[in-house]
Amino acid sequence: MGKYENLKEMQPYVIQLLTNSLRKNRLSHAYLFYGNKGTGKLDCAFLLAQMFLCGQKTNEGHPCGQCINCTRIYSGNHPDVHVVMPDGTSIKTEQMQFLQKEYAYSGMESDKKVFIIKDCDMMTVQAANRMLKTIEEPLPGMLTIFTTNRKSAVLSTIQSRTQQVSFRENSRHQLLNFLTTEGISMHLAKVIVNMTTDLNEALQFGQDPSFADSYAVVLKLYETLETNKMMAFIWLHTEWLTHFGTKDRDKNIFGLSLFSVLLKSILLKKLGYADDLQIEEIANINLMIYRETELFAILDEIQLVQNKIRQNFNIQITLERFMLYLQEV
Amino acid sequence: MKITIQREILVRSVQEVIKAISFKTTIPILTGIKFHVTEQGLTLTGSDADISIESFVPKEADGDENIMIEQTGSCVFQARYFYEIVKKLPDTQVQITISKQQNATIQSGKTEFNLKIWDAEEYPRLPEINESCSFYLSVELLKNIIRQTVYAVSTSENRPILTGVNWIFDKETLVCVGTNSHRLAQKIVLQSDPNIQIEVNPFNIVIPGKSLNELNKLLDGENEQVKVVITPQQILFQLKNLLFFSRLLEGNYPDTKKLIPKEMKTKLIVDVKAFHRAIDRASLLSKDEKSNIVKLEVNDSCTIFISSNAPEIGKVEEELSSEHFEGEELKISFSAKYMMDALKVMDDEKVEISFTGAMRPFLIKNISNDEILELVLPVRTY
Repeated sequence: MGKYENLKEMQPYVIQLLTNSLRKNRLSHAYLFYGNKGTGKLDCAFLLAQMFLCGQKTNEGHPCGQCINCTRIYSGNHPDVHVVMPDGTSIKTEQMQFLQKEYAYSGMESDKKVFIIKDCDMMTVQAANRMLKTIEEPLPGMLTIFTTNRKSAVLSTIQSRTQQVSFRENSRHQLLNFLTTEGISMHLAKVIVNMTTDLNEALQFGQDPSFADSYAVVLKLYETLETNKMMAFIWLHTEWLTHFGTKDRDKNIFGLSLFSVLLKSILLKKLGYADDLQIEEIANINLMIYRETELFAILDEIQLVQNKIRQNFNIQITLERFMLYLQEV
Repeated sequence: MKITIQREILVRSVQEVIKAISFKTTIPILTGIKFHVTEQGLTLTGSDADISIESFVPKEADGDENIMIEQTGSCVFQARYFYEIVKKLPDTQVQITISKQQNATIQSGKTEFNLKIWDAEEYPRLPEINESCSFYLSVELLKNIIRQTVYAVSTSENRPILTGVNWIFDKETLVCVGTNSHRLAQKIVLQSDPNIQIEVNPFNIVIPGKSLNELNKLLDGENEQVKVVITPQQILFQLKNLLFFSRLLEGNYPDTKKLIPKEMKTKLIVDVKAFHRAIDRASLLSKDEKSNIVKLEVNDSCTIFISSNAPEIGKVEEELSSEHFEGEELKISFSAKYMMDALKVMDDEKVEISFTGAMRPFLIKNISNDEILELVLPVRTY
């Protein structure tokens, strides 16, 4: 099954750990999966649920992915697998009440039950405290999986009652391979892996038809700065704002992130740290417009500008100021 | 799948199974009704994961043809729409056909609905019925068990196990207990009782109180006997053409035998109705849950004083004579609601109440038999 192979490549240690504990019958009653966004925690939780419930596992302990248990876990219709995720900004006590009830009832089809609590750091304190008692006195056949990308925000009393599994950051090389097999061109894929290591986010970027256009606009900004720095202010109005708009904050922040990827690559190249994941355009552009120290300063400034846009500053004015800054560094 | 069915029969069956369906569920497929057509007839299933109801429509009944089956098969309809549709179809006959994988046609008269359906494979599997652990109860007895025990169970999920009724069979008696840790109701059915036919291995299960209440609504005069089947995960009540499944509660039910006092110091016999009315009156001044407390005093002269005091409203006192009194004098306070609930389910006109002290739980029993036993914890007052 593709999904499984993928996870195995992304998180070999985690998969190894889980298959071994299952095979040796040493599965813990509760797990805490933590790691950065997009490292496959939720997928892995579903996979573990499948491994736990699938009746036709392969010899290596892989779930078959085809039996009714496996397919229903993915479609969300398995009666003994319960997934709780934040309702709005937090996981509320009522959701926990439902879980507590489910803990007390016998399984619908078998004596095994799986509970998956996504983003468990979002549990309200009351919700988390309700959870404590249930994971403290587990009944046999129950498996609880917590996932979080902010482990430190999880109640320490929950941390201490679970087996913690760390998910490592995705390797950029693997991500690049994955993106190219998904049909994304090499030169865009290289830009993406420099922007994010989140698998889902990367895929989303790659499949967005306007991504290539946005990237072209950002490259053009650099070209404009190369030919005539004074033109940047006017260029902002003719090109940048027509493409990214004056209303859409996320799009503008995204455009700035692309710009900082470009500048970072230039900086690395100048400092002699270029690797094979460098964006390809580096080879053909003038690296001499800014000095290293200036590049550092601009990168800092981009962060500030992004924060301002996030904080509801007027986009056009903020960007105009940024263009003036670029002219004068 | 292709069938033609009498509309009335279909509506009745859908009405039965839709009782189990909840539209608030987190499992999408449970908002559907499962159709399963075999050579024998049509089975409908509805479920909210806690309870499941299966209704069977035989191909023929009493010589009449209910369903014309052209092709067997199964699928899941979205319950909400399906029910509304079949209720309002124009003709007495309904034809249901699965045309493609995801589509079904419902035809009646000149109306035709095309509905999206779900794959029946996705629907939860109900347990196989294992004949080895099954027994029979008369409907009357089952209704009594439910009425006399379920009222006492806990409604809060803090101790989930207490939201259920514990059924224990030990080869001689079936003991059903419900408690919320402040009161307890116990019903004992002897194996020799003609209303029960039980020849199974001992068992100890906890059935959710909510499920029993739902079951109670389905029990009617049409059925005389209910077959009960216990499977490891679920309990099944089999009625005529209707199966009622409920999940069980897991965990250890507290040992309630220890709670029931063996010796007693004061014994009263009272008339149920008169006593109930007196408690009801005394509780008028303290209607809210927390302070719904009445005080009872007895002395040698066979007189019972019932009183209640709500400082901001006023107080009430009432005298009642007891049929019989033996033992020590006593002053005790208890929740009026618990007392009235307990009195309501007694069968006899007169009951025996036995106390072991002001701070110990007291027992209420029929005077004619020991089948029902109600226990209420007193309240400490200063």
